Amino acid sequence: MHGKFDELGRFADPSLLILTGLSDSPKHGYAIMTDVAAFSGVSMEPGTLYGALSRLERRGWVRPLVTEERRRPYEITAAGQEILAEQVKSMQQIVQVARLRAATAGGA
Amino acid sequence: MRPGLAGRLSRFLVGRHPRRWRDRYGEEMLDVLDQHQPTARTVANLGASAVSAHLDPAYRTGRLSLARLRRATLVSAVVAAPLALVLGPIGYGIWQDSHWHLAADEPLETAAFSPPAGLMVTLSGKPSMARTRYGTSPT
Repeated sequence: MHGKFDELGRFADPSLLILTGLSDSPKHGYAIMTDVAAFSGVSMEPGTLYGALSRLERRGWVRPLVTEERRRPYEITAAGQEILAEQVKSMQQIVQVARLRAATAGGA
Repeated sequence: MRPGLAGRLSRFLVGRHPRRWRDRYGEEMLDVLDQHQPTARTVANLGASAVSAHLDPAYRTGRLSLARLRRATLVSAVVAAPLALVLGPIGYGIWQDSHWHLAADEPLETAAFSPPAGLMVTLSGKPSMARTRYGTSPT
């Protein structure tokens, strides 16, 4: 859908969910997993979560905050907010076309 | 897989990530595992994560020697074999339930699907036993 997101390969979808989860407030690993499950129904496993987080961190889309005991919260950066907004816009276009075509097919 | 075994295997697999990865994410992953209910899926996911991290140039430490590759393959096989034994028959059962198939002694002569492809009608190839069968389509 988006070039920069495509580079994330199999971590593209988890990355989108993580960025959405972090878009309102910083969260640590387990809080991200429970939040993602609550708003999307996707049960993310720890290997996928940290695989995606490491890629997001390298691209500068999320940043780690100070560790609290063993928990390290992550926050979305300005670049992360920007890429998330672009991705959402792209998905909205797809949804719009899908709705239009489904309505046309249904009426035919 | 029993939760206790899945938990132990999950922790073992966190330790099989490259050192740089463990230094950076190891404690966090163990903390997540303390709160998470590990299952066979968690174990498979962490196995894949360990392999992926070893192949990632950002976390790979040193050159991948033949001995290390052999050891990694052995560890993966030891973890994957019991998983395949448990999950394989379950997956095959689910696949069989979700797909129509003719019995081995019923050669197919004619098959037709209803417009939404939800229903299939077949005619057996045996002349003396020609009959109509109904079943769900493979969709």
